[in-house]
Amino acid sequence: MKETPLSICEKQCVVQAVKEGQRIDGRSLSEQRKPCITFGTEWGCCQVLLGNTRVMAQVSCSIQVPKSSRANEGMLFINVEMSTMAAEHFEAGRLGQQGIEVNRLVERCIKDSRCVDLESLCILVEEQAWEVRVDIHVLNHEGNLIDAATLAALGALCHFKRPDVTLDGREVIVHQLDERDPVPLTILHYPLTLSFALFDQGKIYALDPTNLEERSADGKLVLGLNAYRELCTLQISGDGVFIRKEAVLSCANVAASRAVEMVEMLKKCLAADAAERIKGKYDGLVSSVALEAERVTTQSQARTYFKAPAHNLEENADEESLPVPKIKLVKDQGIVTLQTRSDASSSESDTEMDPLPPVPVVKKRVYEEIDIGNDSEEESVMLITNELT
Amino acid sequence: METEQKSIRALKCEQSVLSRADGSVMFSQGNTVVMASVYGPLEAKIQKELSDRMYVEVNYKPKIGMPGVAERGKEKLVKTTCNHIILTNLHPRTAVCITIQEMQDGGTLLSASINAVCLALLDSGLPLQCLVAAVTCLVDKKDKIVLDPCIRTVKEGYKAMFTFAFDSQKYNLILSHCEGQVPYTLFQEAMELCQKASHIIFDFYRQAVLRKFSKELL
Repeated sequence: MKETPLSICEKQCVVQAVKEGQRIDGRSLSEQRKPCITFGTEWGCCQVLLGNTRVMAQVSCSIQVPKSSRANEGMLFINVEMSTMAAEHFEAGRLGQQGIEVNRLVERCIKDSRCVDLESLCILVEEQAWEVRVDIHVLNHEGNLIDAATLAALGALCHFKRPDVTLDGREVIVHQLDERDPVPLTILHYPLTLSFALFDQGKIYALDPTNLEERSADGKLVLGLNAYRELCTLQISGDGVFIRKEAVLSCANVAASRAVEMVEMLKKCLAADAAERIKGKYDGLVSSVALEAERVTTQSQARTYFKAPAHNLEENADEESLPVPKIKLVKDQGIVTLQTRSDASSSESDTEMDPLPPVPVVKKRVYEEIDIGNDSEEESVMLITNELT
Repeated sequence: METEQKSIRALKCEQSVLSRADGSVMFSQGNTVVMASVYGPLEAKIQKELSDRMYVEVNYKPKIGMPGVAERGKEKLVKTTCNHIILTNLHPRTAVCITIQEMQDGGTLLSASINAVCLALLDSGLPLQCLVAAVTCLVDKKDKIVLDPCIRTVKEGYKAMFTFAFDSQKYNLILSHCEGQVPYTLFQEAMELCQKASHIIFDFYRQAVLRKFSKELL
């Protein structure tokens, strides 16, 4: 399905508003939407809401052979998944051009800045190392997927804990999660991306663009910064954009202060999550389901009890008295068939077998309600015969 | 035999949770959280276009890794259920695209997915013949039937696990997915139990929709 084309009047409205320093949702040009971060019960599960943009990341790990060029390091693999859920023009399973851009920028920010200490992930040099895999799922696309994806990936990596490993000589023992407490990853610094949409050939920039602003913009400027105001990533894209170096520096200043605040907020959310877990009865993402309970679109219901329908076992014959048909393998000219006693022609033991008891009343009742269709009396025990003869 | 108290875990949902989808829901059953989205009727691809009805496409996305055979299995089960409940004849040569995203696994992902899809279809306004409620129960190693098991019970091992889906009009069986081996009497008992439990889920749907339309639109 193709994306709905952007109408000229929509684009002109956005561009005109930005030229006057205003935005459709009322923010200022250097104001970011407030991110909302929640974690799941599994270690390494993080959901980020940036306005209406929703992204979820999950981290998992497995033991693999390390790369020969870096034999003493573990591996980090980042995968972005965009499906039709996020927007109607996304195809499940195939990353379009936008998806590849998001994937590459998240990789550059998180992998290339070496924020995760990969050397600590090595178990046996040249033989075994942890491969950490981050799966980022884009759930709703309302602009600025790159920032949301990076924040989700970083949150998930900080939240994740891998199984503890002990080395007994050359033998590697991986402890189960209930045996020994899992170990968190070593995060050296916290890099995040901040995107600006560029308007008027690079003269005006708006932080954290919505989908409409992104589509109306001339270009994009993506900065990757960490809490120490260090630059990790820089990308400028868009044709017809001539951005001056003073503009890049002022964007970087705005982004740096925002990055410091976001890392603070991420750390606070992680600490709050850890505190919730200690309390017990932790349900992870369930608490984010009906987050604003007063909204009419939410509905909650506690555990509901009911009486199980009476199942009259007294009317049925016991398990022992129901004759189990003895099935024997019969080889006939190389063809093996299963014969139940009832259709064995040689009848040495046929006389011992009682006729099958009539189907108990309960079964008939079920048929009336459930309406499976076939009410043969012999069906219950003879099913195997029907299939094979 | 005495009738014991059985229960369905806590149900929570938020409808219209995604701004772009025609219908969407974030649904939780106990600790299992699933997000479902519905886009439709959409323009169908020429290979998938059907001349007399709507083509139902289901995508199930696991949290970790690429979708594999197990996911395709779940997709097929949800797709057959949806083909039954959606009035596909009303929108020929179009498609409806249903996506299910696993958010948190607390056991019973298949039944939570079917319930979430039903709520998302309700949210999207597509014409439905009836609603569907799915319930999972398992027979543990001691031959005891556990209704709506949590992940710990599932991980402990079981003799059989059943997922049944029922329609909302006559509570007939629409879908039955069974793994494992048990005598027929236990299977019947499980089915009756799930049928009774499905009433609770239908009640929940009704409350959710009533609440959504309880305020007048200004």
